[in-house]
Amino acid sequence: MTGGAPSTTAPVPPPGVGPESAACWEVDLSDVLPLVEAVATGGGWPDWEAALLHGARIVDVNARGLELVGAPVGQQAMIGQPVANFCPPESWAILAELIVAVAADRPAHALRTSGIHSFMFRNAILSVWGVPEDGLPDRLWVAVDGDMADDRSFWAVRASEQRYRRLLHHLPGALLQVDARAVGAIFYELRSQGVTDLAAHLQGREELVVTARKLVRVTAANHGAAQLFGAADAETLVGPIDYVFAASPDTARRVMIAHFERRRSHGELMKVRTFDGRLIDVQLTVTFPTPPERLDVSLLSFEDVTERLRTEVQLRQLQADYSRAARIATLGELASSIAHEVNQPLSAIAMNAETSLRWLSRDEPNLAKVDALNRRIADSARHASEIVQRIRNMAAKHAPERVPLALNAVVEEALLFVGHDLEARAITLSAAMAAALPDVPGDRVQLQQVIVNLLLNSVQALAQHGDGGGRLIELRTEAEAGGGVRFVIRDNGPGIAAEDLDRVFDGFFTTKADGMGIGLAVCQSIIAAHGGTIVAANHPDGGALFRFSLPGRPAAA
Amino acid sequence: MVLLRRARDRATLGAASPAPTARFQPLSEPPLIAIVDDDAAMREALDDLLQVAGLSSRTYAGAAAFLDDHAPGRFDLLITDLRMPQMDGVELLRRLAATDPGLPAIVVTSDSPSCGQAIEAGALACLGKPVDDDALLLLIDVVLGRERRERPEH
Repeated sequence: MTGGAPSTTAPVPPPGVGPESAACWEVDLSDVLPLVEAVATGGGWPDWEAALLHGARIVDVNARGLELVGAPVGQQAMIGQPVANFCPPESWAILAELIVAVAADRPAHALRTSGIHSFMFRNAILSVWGVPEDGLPDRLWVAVDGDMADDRSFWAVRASEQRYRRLLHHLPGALLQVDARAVGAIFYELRSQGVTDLAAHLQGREELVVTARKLVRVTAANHGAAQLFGAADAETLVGPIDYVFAASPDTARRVMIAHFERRRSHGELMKVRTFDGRLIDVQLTVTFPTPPERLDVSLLSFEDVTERLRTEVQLRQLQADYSRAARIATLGELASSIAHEVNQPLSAIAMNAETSLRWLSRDEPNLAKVDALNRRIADSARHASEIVQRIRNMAAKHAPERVPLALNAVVEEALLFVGHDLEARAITLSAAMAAALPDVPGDRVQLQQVIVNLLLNSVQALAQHGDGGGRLIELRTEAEAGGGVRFVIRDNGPGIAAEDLDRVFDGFFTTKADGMGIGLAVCQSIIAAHGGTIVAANHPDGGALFRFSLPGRPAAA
Repeated sequence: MVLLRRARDRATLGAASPAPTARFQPLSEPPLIAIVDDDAAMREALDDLLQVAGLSSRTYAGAAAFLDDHAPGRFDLLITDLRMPQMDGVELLRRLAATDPGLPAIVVTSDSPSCGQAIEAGALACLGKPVDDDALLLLIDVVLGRERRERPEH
């Protein structure tokens, strides 16, 4: 008999070992014969034992063997599995060396034994043997035997097992105990094919993930899990893990990759379709076993974050509403500027129209002049409409977005809003905009709002500062390390009182008689929502200085 | 809206039913009007309005550019905006009061509340934008007819 087909004969009992007391496995070596040959002739590599035991597969197992290690999986789940899954890693070297020694012992493949430690037996003996044949054998038999440990220690193990299950059941939160050893075999095969990057390998091979979802089994679940999954009881959750990932198939892929990469744990947000049909948001944490822990126990914990996410959405909405309210308040402060700005093109339009009429009412109408004037009227009308559009954008309701933005362009747009205020108050503006700034992700309207607020803040500080000549606002944009950008604004006004420095960003803090005190608070909340920081300070040469930084694009995940 | 400098001109302008052959009086040289406004559209619109009325004008985008080009007696009338970057209209009027006190000035502005300041600084009249073109041309006729100065001989 060759190849991977199960043996039709019961394992041959080793000489001197009773089949009743010994745990016996029949092992198929056909996939690892080249490795056996290599080691037998002095080759091999560090850790070859693990490779050999992952490639050697269990073909058959007796009742004792099942009792010893098979408990949560049963015979069917054990057959076809790598030997490594059922052998404590501390015994891998002993077992692998015995297998090579027996396989290389041509043609007898006689019995060899070695003592090992086992919690099931005192003086445990590991035996490996084959049947006489000329070449390397496809099949060998492995047995573990010894004096049964006394009842107390045997039952202590069983009892601790039961305590563990009770503990699992009563632990708060939702927990699934999972036996993922079946994917160990898949992983071994992939590694022996030379796969090192499972993420890349899975591209276009989604069926591997589907297979894994059917092979990996939930072996226990607690009360919390039953509640979270909307199941009648915890037992309902025992079986293939497929249902866990039904609403988030990509999560299954990522968990599999984490397992393949031998990470200790993996966590992510996922969606779960419950047994009673709800779709909930869940924080998943998977903890993979690593030797010498029991290899058959992976733990999945779930936290229902649906409510938290909903609250976050509401908070974001509130923040957006708050910013918009502040924008409208800012537009109110800008009202006279806006009126002036809109009036300018409208006045030109009116005058050009009157002039046109005068040309037309002449005895010989000058149509060339009328033509030119009408073009100007059209230009001015377009200009007025752009101003109105800009104001409408500021006042409009809109969902905050994150698009790549050029900070300099945002600054220039913001300046359009306050240009007339600067003129009206004879404030000189100097702007030093860095060339070739990287784009940063942001919300155009909200960042414009921040800059307009900071500008207005300076304008108003300077206006309070008396009429002295040389009112000055300096702007600067700069690149920051890591792809971020920085905006700095400084005025030569009275500066910020030392005791106010910590409070300028507090909501409803204002030093202005007619101020609401929301402008700077909104600036801070907008910058924070962009993952940036804003600070207020006094310039050493006098005047207030505000600086905000925005992070660059997050590195690709 | 038109704000006039009353002390000096109430009598003349109050009586102003179309007064206005003034500028068709034979002149050695046609009158030259300076237009100062930082807004290009407005500047050009004023220029065109004066043109259709048969008047010659020069436009300047700012007070400084005008002052560079100005010499006492060169212009017969100044039409200026108030809100302008660098030097505003009031400042321009103050400077002219010192260097060319005879130059009449008409202010056109969106910022009507500042008209008082403009009149104090020496403007003859202050018109809110949008400008009533009939009123402006009438004013110009009156100013050029009544207040036109002798131009220096070359």
